[in-house]
Amino acid sequence: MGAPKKKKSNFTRKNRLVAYAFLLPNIIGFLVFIFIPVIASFLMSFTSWNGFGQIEFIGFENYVNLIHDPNFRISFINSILFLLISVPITLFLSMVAAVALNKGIRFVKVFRTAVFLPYVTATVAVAAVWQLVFNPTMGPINGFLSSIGIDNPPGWLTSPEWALFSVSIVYIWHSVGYYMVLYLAGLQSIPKNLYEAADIDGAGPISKFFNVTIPMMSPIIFFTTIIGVINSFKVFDFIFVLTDGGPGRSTHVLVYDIYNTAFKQFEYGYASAMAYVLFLLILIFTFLQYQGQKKWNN
Amino acid sequence: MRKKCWSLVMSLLILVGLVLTGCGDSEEKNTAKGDSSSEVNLKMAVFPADEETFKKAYEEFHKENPNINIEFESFPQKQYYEKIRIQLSSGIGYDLFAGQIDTMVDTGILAPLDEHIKESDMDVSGFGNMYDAMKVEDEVLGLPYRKSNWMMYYNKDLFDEKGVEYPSDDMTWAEFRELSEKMTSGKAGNKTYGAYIQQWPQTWYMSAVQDGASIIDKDLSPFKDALQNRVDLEKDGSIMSWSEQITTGAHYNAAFQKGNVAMNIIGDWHVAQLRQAEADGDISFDWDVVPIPHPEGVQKNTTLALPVGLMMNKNTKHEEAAFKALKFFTGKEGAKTFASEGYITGYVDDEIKEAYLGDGSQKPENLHYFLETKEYPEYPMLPGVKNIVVQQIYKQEGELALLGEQTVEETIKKIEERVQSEWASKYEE
Repeated sequence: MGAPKKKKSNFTRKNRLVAYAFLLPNIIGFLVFIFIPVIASFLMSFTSWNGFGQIEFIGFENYVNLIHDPNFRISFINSILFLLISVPITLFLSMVAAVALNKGIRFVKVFRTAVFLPYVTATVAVAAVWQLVFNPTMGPINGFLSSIGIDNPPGWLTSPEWALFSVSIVYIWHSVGYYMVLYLAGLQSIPKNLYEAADIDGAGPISKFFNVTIPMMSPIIFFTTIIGVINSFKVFDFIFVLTDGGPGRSTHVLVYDIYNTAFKQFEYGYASAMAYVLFLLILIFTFLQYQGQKKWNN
Repeated sequence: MRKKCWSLVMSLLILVGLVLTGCGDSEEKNTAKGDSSSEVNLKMAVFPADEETFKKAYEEFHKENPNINIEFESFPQKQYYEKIRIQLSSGIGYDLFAGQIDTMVDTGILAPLDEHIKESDMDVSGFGNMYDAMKVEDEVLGLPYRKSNWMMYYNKDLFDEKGVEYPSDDMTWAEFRELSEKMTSGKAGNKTYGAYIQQWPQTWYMSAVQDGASIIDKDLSPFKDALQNRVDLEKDGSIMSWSEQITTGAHYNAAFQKGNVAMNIIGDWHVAQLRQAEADGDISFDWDVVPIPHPEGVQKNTTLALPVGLMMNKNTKHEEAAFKALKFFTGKEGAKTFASEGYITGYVDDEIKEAYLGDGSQKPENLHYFLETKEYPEYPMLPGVKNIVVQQIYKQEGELALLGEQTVEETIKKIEERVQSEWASKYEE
C-alpha cells in the first residue's frame, strides 16, 4: 500500500514543480517590477534622498511635513474636487448611454463604437483638440456662448476657477465609453422574465427601470463607483498635457504633485510619503469594493 | 512528458540566467580599464538643441584624439534633468554631461576640476569673471560652454512697412511699451503684434534683475514694476495674451518666424534658430538684434545670462580622457565651433569674437551687441532655486497676475512668502 502512495505524492510534487515553472515568469515579473518597488518606496518614505549618495533616515518627518505643506493640501483638495465632479457625471452619462444603446435600434454598433472611441484614443492627441475647443477667444464653445449673448464666457483651461472643471469634462468624455461597456454587459445579464413579469403587473418603462433594472444592476453600479473613484484619484495624463498643473496651482492633483516632487525637485523620500497617502486612500476604497463583492456574491 | 517538463524548466532557467548575466556584462564593460594609449569610449549627455554643434566640435576633437570616442545622448529639454539624473543614479552613467551646475550640484557626483585644470595648463582667462562666479565652495565643478544672453530680435520688414524707426539700443521698458503699441495693428486672425514675450517667468522678472535685484531677496518690491510692465503690455494688446499663448501652445521661435511679430525678447540661441530657418527658406523677412530694454537709470545693454556648463562625473573610469574632452569643448576649440554657429560662448577671446561675428555675410548685422553686454545671472546659482523658486513659485503666482486673478501687489507679496516658506526654509543654511 505504501509504495503507490509514495509514487502519487512524487507525482504531485513534480506536477507542482511544473506549475511553478509556468508561473515563474510572472512571479519574477511581480517581484521585480511590483513587490520590491512597493516595499522600497515604503522604506524610502521615511528617508530624505535625492537619488544620490547617503540615504538619510528621518522617521516620520516626511509625513509630519505633509500636514503643514500648502502644496500638498491644495493638491489633496483638488483631487477630491475632481472626484466629486467627474465620478457622478461619468457614471450617470454612461448609464444613460448604456440604456439607450441596449435596445435593438438601427446602427446600434456604430453608436456604441462612437461612445467607446474616446477611451482608446491617445491622450496627447485628444488634448490638442480639446485645447482648441476650449480656446477662450477662438474656440467653438465660447463662440457659441457669446453668440447667445453671454458677455463674459469663462476662460476654461486658462481660468483658475474653471480649469479643474474643464479637465473633468475631458476626463468624463474619455471615460464614459468604458463604463458604458460595463453597464451594457450588466444590462444584458438581467433575465428577460423579470421584465415580462413587470409587464404583466402593468409597470411602465420608468417604473421598470427603477424597480427591475437598478436593483439588478446594483452590484455593477457599486463596482463602477469604486473603480471610478480609484481611477479619478490616479488622474495624471490629462492634467499633465492639458494644463500642466496651472494656472497657478489650480489643477495640481495628488499624482501631479508626486511627479513634481520626485522628478522635478528630486525629493524622492517626500514624494514616496505622498504616494503612500494616496495609496492609503485607494486602499480604503479597494477594501470597500472587496467587501461589497463578498456581500453580493453570497 | 517528463522530458518535456524538464526541458521547459531548463529553458526558463537559461532565460533567467541570460537576463541576469546580460545585466552583469554591461557593468563589466563600464569598469573596463582605459589608459590613454588604448581606445576609450565616453558617453556624454547634452541638450537636444546643442547636440548638432557638439557633434561638429567632436569631429575636430576626434581628429586630434583618434583613440577617444564619444557617444552623445540627448533627451527632450523638459525632461532632460530627470532623465540624466535617473541614468546617473542607477550607475549607468555619463562621463560628461551638459547642464546648469546648480541643478546638478546636490548630487555630489560632480568631479572637482581644479587639479586637472592646473595640470593641463588650461587657459582659463577666456572665461573672465564667470570662472570664479561659477565656483561652488571654492571648487570648479564645471566649465561654461554657453552663456545664453538675452537679446531683442526685430523684424525689419514690419518696421519699414509702418515707417517706424528701428528700435534703439538704448531703450527703457516704458519706451519699449510705447513702441510695441505703435507696432501693433489688426484684429484677431491677422493681427500684427508689437512684441512676443515667451510665457516664462524670466521674461517678466528680468527688468528687476537688470536693476540688481535677486529673485530670492526677502524684500521683492523691485519686482512689482517688472510684473506691472508685463501686465500693461498685455492690457495694451501689444503682445499675445498669456492665456492665448497657453491654449495655442505658442512658442517664441514659431511665433517670430510667422512674420507678424515686430519684436521678440529671447536668448542668443535664437540666432542659430533663425539662421536655420533662413537656410530652410522658412522666413523671408529681414531681421536684426538690439539689446533688450532696460529700466530707467540702468546702463544700456545690461542683460541676463544663464551659463550652461559641462560637468564631469567623478565616478568616470576615464578621468583623463573625459577631462580632455571637457577642456576641448569648453575651451578655445569648442568655443570656436559654438561661436561660429551663433552662440555666445563661456570662453571668449579675440579669436572667438571673430569667429562669432563671422565675415559679415550672415545675419544679424548687429551681432556685436552680444559681445558688449553687462550681464546678471538669471537667478542665483543655488540648489533648488531653478526648480522651486523659478519654475514653481514665480511661474504659478505670475500666471495668476497675468490672468487678473490677483493684483501685482498681492502677487509679489505671495511670492515673498512662498520663497521664504518653500525654498529658504529648506535650502538656506
